[in-house]
Amino acid sequence: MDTIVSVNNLEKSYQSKKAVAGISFSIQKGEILGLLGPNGAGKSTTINILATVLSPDNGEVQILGYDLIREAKSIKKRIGIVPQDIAIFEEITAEQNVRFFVGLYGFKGSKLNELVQEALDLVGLYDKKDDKPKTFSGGMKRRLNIACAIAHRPKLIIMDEPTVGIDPQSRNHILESIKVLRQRGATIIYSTHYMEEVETISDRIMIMNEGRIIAVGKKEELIQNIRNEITYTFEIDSSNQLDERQISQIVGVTNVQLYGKDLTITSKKSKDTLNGIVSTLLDNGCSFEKMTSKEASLETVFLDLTGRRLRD
Amino acid sequence: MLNLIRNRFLRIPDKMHIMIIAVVVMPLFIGAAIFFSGHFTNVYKVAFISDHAISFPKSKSIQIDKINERPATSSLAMGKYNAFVEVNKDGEFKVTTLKGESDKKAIQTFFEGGKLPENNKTEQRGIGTNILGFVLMLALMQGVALTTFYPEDRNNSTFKRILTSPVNSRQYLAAQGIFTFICLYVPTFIAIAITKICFGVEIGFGLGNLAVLLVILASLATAFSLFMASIMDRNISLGTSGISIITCILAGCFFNFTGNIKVLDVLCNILPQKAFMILIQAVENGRAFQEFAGQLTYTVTWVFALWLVGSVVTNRRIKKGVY
Repeated sequence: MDTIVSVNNLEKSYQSKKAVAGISFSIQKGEILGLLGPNGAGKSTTINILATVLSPDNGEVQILGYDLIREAKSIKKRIGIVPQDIAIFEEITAEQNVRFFVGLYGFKGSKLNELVQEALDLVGLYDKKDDKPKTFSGGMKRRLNIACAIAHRPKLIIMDEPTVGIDPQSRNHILESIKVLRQRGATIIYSTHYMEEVETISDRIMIMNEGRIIAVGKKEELIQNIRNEITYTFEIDSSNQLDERQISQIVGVTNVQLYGKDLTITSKKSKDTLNGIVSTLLDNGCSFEKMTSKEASLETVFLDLTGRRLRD
Repeated sequence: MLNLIRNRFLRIPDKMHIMIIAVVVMPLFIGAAIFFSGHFTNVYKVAFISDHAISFPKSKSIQIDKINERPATSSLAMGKYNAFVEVNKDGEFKVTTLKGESDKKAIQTFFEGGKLPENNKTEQRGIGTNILGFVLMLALMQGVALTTFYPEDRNNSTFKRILTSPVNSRQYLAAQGIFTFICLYVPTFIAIAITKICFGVEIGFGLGNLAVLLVILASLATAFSLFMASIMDRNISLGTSGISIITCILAGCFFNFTGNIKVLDVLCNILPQKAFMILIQAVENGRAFQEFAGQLTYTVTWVFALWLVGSVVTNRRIKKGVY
């Protein structure tokens, strides 16, 4: 299998803060790599470096066989970036937007027309091609944002949270489009805050935290590592009286998170911790209306590895 | 490059203020310049303060109001008078003016000898110089309005997105510069040419000379706007308008200005508008461009320097990840 992206010991700092702290990974042809991490994990910095808009401090990066520093122009011709922000022109039509961005790659004439139509078709906006994005919904703008990035048929597509704040219909459309792109031979890096999206489309998942890669592998492999854990979630009615440290001290409990009324506790399966947890809650004057238990999932993997929820 | 320029033309219809300035305000300014040029008769208006009746030879270049009391000094600043002339006890004429030393000497010479010096330049500033002086200031401000797409692209992340394509920041700025230049040059040239051809106004230049001078003017305004848009993030228009107005006044775009303060004179001479005004005044008086190679080179150097600094600042910010 061909290696499309090869990153070795990549570093980037902003003043004294290390945004990316010596990460190494590779991506194979036709793969969809899901990139997960809380805010400040270093995802966007990594993506900006791969997108050639940010220079690394250290490390080697090869994309499609080209060196990131010496052969940036060759890389730029062959990759497509879907930015986190909706980076389109509101005052010109959808078709003019796609035409402009494809035109930057040197396409002209009938080939240009063909690529514009193909991209608008893929994201389901061809019938809206003459409308201006300022009349579009958030989801339609996101879809146009993608069309502008993929119209020149890039071999590597980097998507930085392409579905933020959109309706389920548009999200499904985007996820389906990504699958089609993969079928057409594209390799995709997909950064998101939505765990279910990563689970749905990714071949492999890479989790970043504080500038480092803390886990990488297939979903099943990641879950396997914490299969012997169980997560309890309580909806408690009075959080201010609860001392989380008391629960942490129960033998078998590995993680305690309290968000408003939601108390999430991860515990070793082998230990019978539930009695101790419930007693501690009641002793602290916390009654609860609802309790759920969940076997290991990607969400719990993330929580276990980072100590934080994905959207923190 | 063409794609980037076309993109800007496609976006113009949504920017009505740019259209209005190009189509309405620019011709109005040219009209105003012509109107005021009729009032800028290039005649010294002198208040001669004396209780005695003294007669002076008549001159087209000097208009003397004989009065008994010294007018308020503000009347010099307001342009009611160019100078006050008083006679001291020894019968010497004392000239008070906000104009330069050469003008002061010229007036002094007239009162002492009855005629202006041979080399007096008072009559040399014509309507064409006034028109281009006005247009220069407007172009410096309009340039920023036309360059608004660049900071807008930065704010909307489209600039960063463009940089992920094979287009680099130099090409982007060049495209923006060409667009700004075209939009400044074409309407201005047409408006002045129409004024000359259709309304028969003698603008002081042939169309050929006008075309060349407008290239310099539009290049300066383009480079200045790119520079300002590169170094500033907010209130670009406000900052640019303020700098444009002050520097254009100091450089004598509306009238020859000097405060008789050496530091101020040096400062005025540094300004590229000053060199440009000297150049257009000379060309209007029938001198060849070659005779003013120094002013021409100096103005063009400013154009390149502003462009270069703007480009360097942009590149540095890109590398820092600011955009």
